[in-house]
Amino acid sequence: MNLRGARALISRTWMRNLSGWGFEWMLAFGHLIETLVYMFVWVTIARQKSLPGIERDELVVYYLIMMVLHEITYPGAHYSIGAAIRSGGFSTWLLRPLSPIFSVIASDLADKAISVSFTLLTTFILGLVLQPAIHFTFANLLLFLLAAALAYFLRFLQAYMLALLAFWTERADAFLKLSDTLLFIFAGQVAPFALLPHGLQVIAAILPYRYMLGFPVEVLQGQLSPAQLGQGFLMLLAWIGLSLLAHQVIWKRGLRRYSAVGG
Amino acid sequence: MSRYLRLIRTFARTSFQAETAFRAHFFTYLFNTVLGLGTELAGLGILFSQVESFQGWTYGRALILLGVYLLVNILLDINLWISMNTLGGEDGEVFQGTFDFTLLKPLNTQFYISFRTWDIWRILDLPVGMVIIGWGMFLLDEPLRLGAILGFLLMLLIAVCLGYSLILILETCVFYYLGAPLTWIFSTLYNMGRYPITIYPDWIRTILTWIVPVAFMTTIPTQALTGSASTWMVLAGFVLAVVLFMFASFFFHRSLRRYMSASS
Repeated sequence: MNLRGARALISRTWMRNLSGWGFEWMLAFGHLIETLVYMFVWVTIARQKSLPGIERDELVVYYLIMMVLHEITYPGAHYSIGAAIRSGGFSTWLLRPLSPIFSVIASDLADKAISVSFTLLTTFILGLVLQPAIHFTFANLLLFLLAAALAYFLRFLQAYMLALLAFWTERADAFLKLSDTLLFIFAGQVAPFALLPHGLQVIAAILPYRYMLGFPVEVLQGQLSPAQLGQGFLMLLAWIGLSLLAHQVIWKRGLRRYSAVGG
Repeated sequence: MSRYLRLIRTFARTSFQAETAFRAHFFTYLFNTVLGLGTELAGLGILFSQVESFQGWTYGRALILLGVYLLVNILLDINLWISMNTLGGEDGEVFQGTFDFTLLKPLNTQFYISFRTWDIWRILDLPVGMVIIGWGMFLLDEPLRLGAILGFLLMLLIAVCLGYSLILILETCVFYYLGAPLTWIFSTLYNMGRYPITIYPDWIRTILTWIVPVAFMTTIPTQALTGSASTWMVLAGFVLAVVLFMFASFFFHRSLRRYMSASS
């Protein structure tokens, strides 16, 4: 029996799979730390003075849930769209008897299976270490699931739309980066909505970013009045509607410009 | 020695020629710089709209910390990081087998992989980091002592040496693990250095001080400049930098033996 060969084959296959997972884990780790830093910043400040309408434990839970939701909704697969359009690989997607958006959905779901499991595990351990008091009501949990699903859809759609701008410019990735930055400031990542200065709150309430990330978490924590809840869901749906329309326009016009390689 | 200095100059010149051929890269650079700086400043602005100071960190001090965080990152990026960056990953030279050519160069391999490429756009970022530090010093409005400046410069040197050693160690792992470059772990942990190390719980602080010594790269240089760093912490940083540099070089040379060209 060739045991040496068998061992080499097993270790090679193992390493190959591990390198795929390692990629996703390291990306997820990056996203997680980005958010985690601000949890510690605000917890430090909450220890020093009482913050308006939010306590230490609420802050910890807010950020723990946000870490998971951020990873679930993160549009990572969208960065490959621009490359596919530039290199002409997009033609393969177009030849399939279904919309190319499913190519992106497929790789998004496959990536998320690996990355979200990492984030869930890490967040769970952090939760055990930090031991915040947790109380959710069942109704809020249901509303959260609804808001989170809509948020995922909105974030996915907006990123897809921006990535399709690669039909016009070689640097469409810049739009994705810009939208990441705006999300960081306005979605409740750098600070929960309640802690933003008033001027930024006004902007954040209008822009779509809060509804992609911060709003569902606020729903779960029961921090919103029924009026605010209704308003939030309305904004969420309005932005989804607008994005669908804009996506239609970009898709139709962009496709006409596409000329395979070099298009 | 002078031969190596001349080589570093040559590497810089060829990088400059290669980059300036594409003028659009300038706009990409500008976009990234403005976006990055805007995010950082917005973060600090939001934070200090709620408090005057936290744990003794005023807005001025936090600005200096941000400046140091940027400056150390830029110093590493300009030459060292970008040079080592092509080793790892699935399009890296170890995986592709083009590391053969690197080994064949009649030069010290570690020297070559550390200095071969320059990121000329990042040089333009240097003043950005320095202006932020200067602005913070201005807001702090404290007399600047010569001792503090010398301590700060020494800490900057230590910070770059620590960063270099960590990146080299993680890049070297490519000889054992052929996935995405592990240096991402370092950049992620370095991100935690943009705020004072004291905001983190004890166990994270210990990791960030002694295992991945981010504390010695941002918080402690800042304290050195504002005159609140203890002498023994600077000394500890110096010893740590020497030890880590020696270990990184040893690990790199040891691992070179594992390289078996393409398909290894």
